[in-house]
Amino acid sequence: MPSSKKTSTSKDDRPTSLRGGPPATTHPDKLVVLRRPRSLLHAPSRGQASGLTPGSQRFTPYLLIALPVTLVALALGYPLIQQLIMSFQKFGLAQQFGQSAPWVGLENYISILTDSYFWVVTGRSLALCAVSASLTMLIGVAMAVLMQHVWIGARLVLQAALVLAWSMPVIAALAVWQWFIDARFGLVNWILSSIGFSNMAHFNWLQASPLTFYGVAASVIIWASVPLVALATYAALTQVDTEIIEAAQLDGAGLYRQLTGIVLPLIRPVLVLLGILQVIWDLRVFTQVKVLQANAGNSSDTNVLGTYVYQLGIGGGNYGMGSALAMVMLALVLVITWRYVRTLSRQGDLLS
Amino acid sequence: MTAIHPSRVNSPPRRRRRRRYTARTITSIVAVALGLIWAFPLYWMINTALTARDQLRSSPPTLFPLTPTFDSLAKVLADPRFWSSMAMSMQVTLIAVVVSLLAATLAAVTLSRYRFRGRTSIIVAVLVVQMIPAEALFISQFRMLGALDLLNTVGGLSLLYVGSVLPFTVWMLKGFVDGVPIELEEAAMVDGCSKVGAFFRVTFPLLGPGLVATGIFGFLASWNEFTLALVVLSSGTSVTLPVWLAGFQTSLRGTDWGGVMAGSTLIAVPVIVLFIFVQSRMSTGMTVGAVKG
Amino acid sequence: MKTSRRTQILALGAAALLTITACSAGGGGKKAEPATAHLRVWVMGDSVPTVAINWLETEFAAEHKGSTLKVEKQPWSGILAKLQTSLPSKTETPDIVEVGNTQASTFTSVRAFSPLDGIYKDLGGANLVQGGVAAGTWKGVLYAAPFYQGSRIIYYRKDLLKRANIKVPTTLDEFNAAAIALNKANPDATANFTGIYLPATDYHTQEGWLFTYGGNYAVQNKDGSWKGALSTPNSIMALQKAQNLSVKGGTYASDSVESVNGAPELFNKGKIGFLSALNSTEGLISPKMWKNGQVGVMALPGLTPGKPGITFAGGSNIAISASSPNQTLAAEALKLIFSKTFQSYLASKGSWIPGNLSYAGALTGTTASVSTEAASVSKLTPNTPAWGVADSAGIPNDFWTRIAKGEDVTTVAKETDAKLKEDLNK
Repeated sequence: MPSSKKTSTSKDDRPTSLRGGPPATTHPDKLVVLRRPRSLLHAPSRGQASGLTPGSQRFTPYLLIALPVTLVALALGYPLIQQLIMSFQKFGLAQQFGQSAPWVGLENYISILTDSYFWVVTGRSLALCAVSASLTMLIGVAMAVLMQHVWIGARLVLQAALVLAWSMPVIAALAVWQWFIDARFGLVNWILSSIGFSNMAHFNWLQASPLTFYGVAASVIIWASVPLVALATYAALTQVDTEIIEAAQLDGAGLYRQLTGIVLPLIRPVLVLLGILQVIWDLRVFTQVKVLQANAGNSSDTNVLGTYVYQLGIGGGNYGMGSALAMVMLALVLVITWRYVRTLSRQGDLLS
Repeated sequence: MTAIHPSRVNSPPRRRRRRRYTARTITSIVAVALGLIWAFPLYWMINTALTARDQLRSSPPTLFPLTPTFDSLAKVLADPRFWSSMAMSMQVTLIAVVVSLLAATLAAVTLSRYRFRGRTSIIVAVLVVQMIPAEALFISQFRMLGALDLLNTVGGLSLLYVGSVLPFTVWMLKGFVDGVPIELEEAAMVDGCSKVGAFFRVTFPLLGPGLVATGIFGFLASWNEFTLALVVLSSGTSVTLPVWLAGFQTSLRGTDWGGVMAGSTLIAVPVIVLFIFVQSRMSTGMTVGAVKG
Repeated sequence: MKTSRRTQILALGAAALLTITACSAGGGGKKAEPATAHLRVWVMGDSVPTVAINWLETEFAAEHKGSTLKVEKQPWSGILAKLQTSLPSKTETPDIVEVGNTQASTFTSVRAFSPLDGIYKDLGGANLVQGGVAAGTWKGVLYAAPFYQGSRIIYYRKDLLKRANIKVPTTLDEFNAAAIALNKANPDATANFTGIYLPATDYHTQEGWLFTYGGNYAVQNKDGSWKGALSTPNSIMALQKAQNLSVKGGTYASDSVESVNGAPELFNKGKIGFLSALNSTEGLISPKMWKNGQVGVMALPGLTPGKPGITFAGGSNIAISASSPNQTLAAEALKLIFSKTFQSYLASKGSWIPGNLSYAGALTGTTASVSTEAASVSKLTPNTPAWGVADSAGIPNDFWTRIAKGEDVTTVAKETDAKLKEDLNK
């Protein structure tokens, strides 16, 4: 029998496998969520999982975690520290070729933050990111849910198509997209003018206005990002115990209520991670915008943080500045995702 | 307390089943349509690979290669550098995927099943490390590999790929391990398994979908990565496929798009093979062996 | 117990970090140059024909017993990142490297290359394309020699001009008038015909107008700082003429980079009167049109009859990496690269204008003489690393797009000058 232990909201560092489930809630229409859905949130009847004997088991976690931590520390950790250090130095190409790198403290940061163009570019990036990330999540999650309610053949077709789209090399994908929207021989204009919008016959999507430019950019980004969201969400959805869903169905919950009330909250960690990743990637998007800009001839009007970092960093070999900008972008992402990071650092988990 | 919805009682079973059947069929059609839309650029890629150069930019666009030319494909298949790049990409990617899945499983199990000092810090770090932009990182990564004498090696490049893929993989797999009730492992141990044995008997098979999703992620992240491969495999060795593909773009004389598309089509083939291989593991139900009430 | 274990791990980690830092910081001691070596030469994908590569590798091995040379082709994409990481590394650097001439100053200014003044005469001396020499010089020292160039020349429809009763132009002003007249005349009544194909994204072509009329993007003051020069009277005149041409001379001003690559096909379909393209485009124009004598070639005309106009010097330089441990051998290999055989191969098999113009006679084809003519007076964009940054930031691209769209020339010039002044002096 489940114990009457409630979830504590204060610092509970114990792993999920040891904690109690959520308290029972009563919804207005008398739909009662099971007190403790058995599979995803579970607790043994005792306060501690058996099998965790103190003493001999104490070193096991450190041994097990040693390999992954070492790999990340080596491949990412050390270079990241170097990047942080570089952001406080004057580190240009000359430094790459042997000159010493003088400390300039916050100079790089100040010159970035006092540049009004930086704020314009940041605003654009935030807007593009907001639209792309939210649409990607919406479409991706919708597709994942869809995949659960179709015949297996259709599901495989959709999944295969997503994997293939995901795997397309960026060069090829961008070329194809540019051909689609080309003003003269593009497929989009041809279709539009064939079905009656004859004034669209030579519409230059990239040059017409920054809005249409970003529309194209967002489409490419969303197209490339949805597969990961859809497939990862689907994998997580398959973990949700069908018993809970069936119980909810018996109580008369429609699909929408099932989703919002039970399923999505249960896979929240995956959704939050995917959302954060989309925010990060869309904020930093570079290749897609850069290539499209070359055709549009409106670089200064359409620069985003990704292309701006390139301009400052690799383009000029000014890695000190590029690193500083990278740190600024990290701060930006932390601000956006602060709520989740805080929950995480308090609870060690995102299921609250 | 729990009410049974009237609709469940009133409609006869057969009509309910038929409604579900039709609903499924409709959603299936929608799903297939979505799939076709998403894969359309790929169709165009293949279309271009088979189109003659002077017809690439025709107006109205050639929707279907009525007079296909296999020259581009043949040229790619005959290029020895394509095959050496394929071999190199395979090596690097497979090592990266295997090592990262292994390491991530270890980390996921540790973070989920054990409690120890520093656990929360590592969990937060796993998330935050993915937020840091890596645009200028390759400079430091190059130096680090140089210090370890790993430049120009498969191992060096794989190491960098593992590092970049691990955080995401750990996070996903931890969620999956969290989702498997510890009672199942305990039950197996009661039956005589060791702790490790219980893990492999019970939890590991249920990680299938998680491993597949993160495996595909890791595979594609390594398969399509460009900058690090370009910079680390600097000379002497073969290059990876994305770097080989970039070679089709010349600066002053335009790009051989037939070649690019043919190459891209062939690059996608191993991915299809991979998908066929793993798609059966994309979902496992939780019904097997679940602890009931 | 737990604490000590954690301390152990931390200590291990710190030790590892320190070791790595130590390894990467210190270099080795100065070693004497080895007598034999395996040289690495990095060239761009489409630069050097295979026969030239084979010759170079064999010849070097024959002349320097015990040493070998290998040519490794690099993709243009990401080459900056690659050069920036490899060139400083003593173990990974190539011995000889090709670098695009717009990017040359990025590396010469940080002394990534070894000075070539010692072997300047051996490489060709005054016969080298002077525009390329300028690109590879920094503060008076030659670091990168001109490797090859592509010339922008004009292909035109002789037959259409004749039918429209338009004289073949001999000056740039006549050329502008001819293009506009041809655009209006459209003798074959072809749909979507354009007198001249002048898309804004192909701005290296437009630079021909800017340079020929005496204008420039920017000029250097006596103290070394840069000043935008787009607002000078010569530049403004050039821009107005170019704008006039874009607006009245034809359609396709807003064509994409992709479409520019498809220009030869448009020409073959009869839709273009005057086409500016590289000499290598000769092979892409329909052989039937050549045979029927429909196509003529000329260098972009200058201000007076008989003198060619000043076009953009697009090409590459080649240099010896300063980090290479094989300086002497690399210099020997470079001399081979500037030998008659190799340079002639660049011309005959690669359709490039060789760095040493005296071997340009090896160029074949109808376009040979006009290409050499154009190359000899070609000019480069401002020779400073900051220009490379400005270029990759899209400043020239944006600029010419606005001109082609018909915006007021003086305003656009002033705004861009201000931007250039800021960016080039960073």
